[in-house]
Amino acid sequence: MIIFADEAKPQAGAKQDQPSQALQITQPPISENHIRSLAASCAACHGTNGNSAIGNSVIDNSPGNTPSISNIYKPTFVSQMRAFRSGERPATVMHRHAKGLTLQEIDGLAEYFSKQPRQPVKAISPQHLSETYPN
Amino acid sequence: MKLNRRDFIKLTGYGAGLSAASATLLGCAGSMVKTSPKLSRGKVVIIGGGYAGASAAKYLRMWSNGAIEVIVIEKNPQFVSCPLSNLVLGGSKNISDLTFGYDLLKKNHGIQWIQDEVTSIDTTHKKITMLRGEMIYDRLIIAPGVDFIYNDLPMLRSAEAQEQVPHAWKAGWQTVNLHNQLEAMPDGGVFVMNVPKAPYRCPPGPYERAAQVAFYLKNNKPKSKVIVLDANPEITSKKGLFTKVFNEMYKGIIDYRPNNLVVDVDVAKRIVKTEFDTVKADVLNIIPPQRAGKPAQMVRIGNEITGLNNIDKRWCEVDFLTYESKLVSGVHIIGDAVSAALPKSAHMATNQAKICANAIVQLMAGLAPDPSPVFANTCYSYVTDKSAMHVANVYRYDEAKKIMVSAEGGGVSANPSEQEGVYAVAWSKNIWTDTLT
Repeated sequence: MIIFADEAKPQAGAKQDQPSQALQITQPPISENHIRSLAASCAACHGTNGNSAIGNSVIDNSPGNTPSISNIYKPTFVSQMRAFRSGERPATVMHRHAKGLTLQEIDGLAEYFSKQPRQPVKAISPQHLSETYPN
Repeated sequence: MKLNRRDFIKLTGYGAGLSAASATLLGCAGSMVKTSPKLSRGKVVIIGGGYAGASAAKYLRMWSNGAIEVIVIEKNPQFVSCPLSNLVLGGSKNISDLTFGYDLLKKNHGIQWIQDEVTSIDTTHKKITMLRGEMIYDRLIIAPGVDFIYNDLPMLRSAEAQEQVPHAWKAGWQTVNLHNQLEAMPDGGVFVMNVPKAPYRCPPGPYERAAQVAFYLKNNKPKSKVIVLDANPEITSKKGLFTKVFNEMYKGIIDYRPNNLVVDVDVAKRIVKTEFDTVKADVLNIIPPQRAGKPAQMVRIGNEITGLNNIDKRWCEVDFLTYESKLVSGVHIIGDAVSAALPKSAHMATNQAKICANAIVQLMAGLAPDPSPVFANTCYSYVTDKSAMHVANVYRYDEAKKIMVSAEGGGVSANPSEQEGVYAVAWSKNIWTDTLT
């Protein structure tokens, strides 16, 4: 396992655009295709292309808010994911996902979600179960 | 075999104006298809519009920018969510909170939709036969969900038997029936349910159900009991958490019995026999063992109906880079029907759908699929009307083993909490909206 010097000190809120330059030297570039399907896995809580039907601000940490992460500032995404990974930012479930990803994947997801346009999303409305629905 | 649109419509056997399905089919040649059919990279037919099939349809259209034609064949008129359906038994949800239409999915993504039932699949001629027509595909995705196995419990096969003893393991009217039986049960009654041998759909689901029924009884009929007959030697998911919930929150209500395989049921009297025991129920819920859904079993390779459920005659073996069957090319299987060391959950079904859709978009453009797919699973179980707990994991393709394996950092909640209950609501709204709009 490769240990990255910057892993030990997650830089919450750091305003640096290239948080993992070192990674790009030690590992082959990660494909957009790989990141696209990985990013789609986040949709169960954060919506299609990061547009959540629940919350709209990544800053809002209120319980139950699974915020939109579309059009996110890249360094914010990276620092928050690293903070979940190290435990610096407490979480109910996000630390499990952040720890399972490589730093390179976190960078790839930051790049991907930063490019997704922020769009309002209306949660789908339920309807009555039809009498004709089979048993 | 190449077909133009006219041939395709003829082959389906749906005359113009015959049904709503045909109107959808013909209507799709118009405004909703974003690219001209001449630019089409091919046609993907998807059997099944559950979490897996609906997600695959949407993401194939989205990621191919409309260059892949997508046709979904689904027999049911609506989508009813299994996740959260145990809350109908607990009394905090109505089945109509969990029921959705397919209209937005179809309209937003130009998906052709046929409400019909598949009767045979011929992989040599790439032809699907339905009750009311036929269909040719370039690639086929089967997202069949699960089928119940009644070989050992034949007395439960009929609709009448299931009226008396519902499984309620596919959300719908059986869920409502079981809820009604629970409401009609007198205080002091006994609710008996089973857990089939793993693997089955939704590993923590039966234990969540026991907790939801106990929650209802504790608040409404406190002299009543829940007996859980588990065919497995121990709780199969979130074991520590459920053990604590059963022993503390529902102490004196839930009687959990491991190693209790149901071997016989007297439907009329609601009496269950396990290998060691006989239990009389006032309300009885038997969840039969499961295998890949029927469309996966009817697949014909050459002249023989072999089915694609080659693992224990139950589950389908796939390539985890593409979800293509190991038995026949051009046919992909996703969702609960897949044989994998992965939980059969809704989130997992949508993940498999997206990896499969991504791979098909690549393959149909002459490109290689992603050699190292990664996805995450988040699964919540409610133990009261408000309180929930998770199991969550990232899964990563292992190139040596050629399977998906869990990555570091996965695990379960320390305790159930109302905060996680609110997150579970957010999960449900987003996964429904992602899958169905």
